[in-house]
Amino acid sequence: MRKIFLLLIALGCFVAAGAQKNYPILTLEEIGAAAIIPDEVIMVVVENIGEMPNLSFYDLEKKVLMQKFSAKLPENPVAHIIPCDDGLLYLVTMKKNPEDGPPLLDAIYSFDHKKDKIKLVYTEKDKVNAPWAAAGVHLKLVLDTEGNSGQPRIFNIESGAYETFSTDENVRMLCASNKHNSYVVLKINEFGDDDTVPVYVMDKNGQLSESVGIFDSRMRASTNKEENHMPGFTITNPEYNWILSAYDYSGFPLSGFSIAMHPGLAEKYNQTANLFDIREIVAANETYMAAKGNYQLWVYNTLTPNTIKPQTVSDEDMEAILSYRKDKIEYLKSPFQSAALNEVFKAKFYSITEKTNLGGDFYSESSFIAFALNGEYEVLREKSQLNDVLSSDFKLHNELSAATFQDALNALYPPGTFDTKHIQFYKKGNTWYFIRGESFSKKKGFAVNVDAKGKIQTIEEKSEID
Amino acid sequence: MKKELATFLISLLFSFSAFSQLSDAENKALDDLIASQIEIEVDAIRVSALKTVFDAAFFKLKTIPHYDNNGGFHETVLMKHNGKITEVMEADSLVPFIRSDFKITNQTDAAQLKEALKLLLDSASGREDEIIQKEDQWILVCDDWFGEKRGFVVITDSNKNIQSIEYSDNLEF
Repeated sequence: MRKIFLLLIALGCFVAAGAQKNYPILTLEEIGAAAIIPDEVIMVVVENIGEMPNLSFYDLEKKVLMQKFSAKLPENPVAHIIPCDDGLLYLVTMKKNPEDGPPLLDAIYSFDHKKDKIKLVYTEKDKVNAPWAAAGVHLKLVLDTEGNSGQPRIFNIESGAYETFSTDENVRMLCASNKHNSYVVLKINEFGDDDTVPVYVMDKNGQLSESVGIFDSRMRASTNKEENHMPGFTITNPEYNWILSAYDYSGFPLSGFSIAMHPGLAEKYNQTANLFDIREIVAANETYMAAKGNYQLWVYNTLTPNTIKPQTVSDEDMEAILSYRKDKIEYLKSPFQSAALNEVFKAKFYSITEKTNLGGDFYSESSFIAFALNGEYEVLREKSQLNDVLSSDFKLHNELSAATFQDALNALYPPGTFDTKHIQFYKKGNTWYFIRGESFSKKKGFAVNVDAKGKIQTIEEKSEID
Repeated sequence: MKKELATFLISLLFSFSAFSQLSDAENKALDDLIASQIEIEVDAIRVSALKTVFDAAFFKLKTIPHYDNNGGFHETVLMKHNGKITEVMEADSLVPFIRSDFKITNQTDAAQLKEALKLLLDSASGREDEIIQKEDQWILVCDDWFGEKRGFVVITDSNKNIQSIEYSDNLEF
């Protein structure tokens, strides 16, 4: 039985070279707000397990629960946990909007982990949006309550009150940096026609530096990769290169396009094994990244990726599941039978159809072409691969040989019902054109370039042929 | 029965004739090629809502074909109960596997069922998060499609045990 299992594993598993994924080092459930303490290996989370939610510390280096706290959390949900330089954690809670709008800022609490004690610091009396993102800059809490349309609220922990972010109402924050005790900002009245704007650094006293770079806010998604553009920085003063990293690790939680706008983080996100399940990235620093999805929270070591998939399924269950799959899926393999194919190409071609039982008499099918050459078997992914398997004896030098070449194409790529009437070939100069169909009144097919003796030089698929 | 037998014989004949055109070496080489082109990932779904609601183990089977380079994949949710593996297809097929001690007595219980369904069924995904009780019915609203509410109608008996779960693409309140 064990041998069958090993065979199934061998048949079923494929490790794509170079496509290494980063698997979570920690998977948690029922997690509310989360934060990774800067320059530490500690993650603090709100756990919603049991009767009452609680705060817990996880040691990310050891990948274990470090400490579970018993301090009673506020009644309203914690939206953000902000580590601060006074050694306390600040909890920002949110409340329901009575007018059915987005949630509102409720209160700010401090949490002293040494005393396991939570204390109310501030209660919001005004109608203020719950912050989208929050950060700590020394002894100030930076609450992004307005997004791009306004300035962040700065809560001074020492005075217990808000203070003005900037007296210049054109100033907007891009990110904050605790390490540099400053804010990266732009002025909305300085946006050029090309959607770029100078970037400044504002110190703790509200003083702006000279321009340190440019923020290009253009966002363009195109089918042409070269035309794609995501907003980003160009730092012109190398002393301020830290901005790139500070921006990457700010603005949590991030989802969708917001992730793509943080290029350093997006790269790490793209390597995660749970890429398609991640709903939002909730915290990150240079070493770790925490993301949520499917009611789970995954923590990744992004500095030293974990490339070994954690085993969540027992050998017995795996065997049963692969056996179930084997019963549901059948692979139909057959060689292409065509004299023309044998004449034009030196490889042997096979049609492979994956036929999946969807239940009862319902099946889905998907097919691909494989070929064998000198004992090596490969998948025919791109039509350009046909260049490598041409028979050296075949010459495309007259109508008869062109008809043979067309027959070979018909065998490999049978024309659809609506394409049959378009099938034809003709020669112009050194190129034979094989029309395979039409799309929006444009002929498509293959352009086959030959030398003076009719030896094929290149086979190129064309989506538009004049 | 005749139809099933005919289907079986035709598919058997087809696979035999296809198979017979290949030598053993070709057959093995193509099997190896296919295996190298199909990436399979299996993960247990270990979320407490599932353990609370169902008396079964759940797995996510992800199949990623690499033969077509289009980046697509196929994902199914499998259930294991009494050693038997089945695919989770519809909400009503899950009812026999609900724990006997799971009852819907309040919004929290109903939310837990909704959470569990969301992990198992595409039809339970969506941005709506409303739960409405109407006598012995719990209506779990999952999505809003141009004004039509989509989700599940859960009917409980006098002991608050679930009797049925039906998906509706036009919930009536």
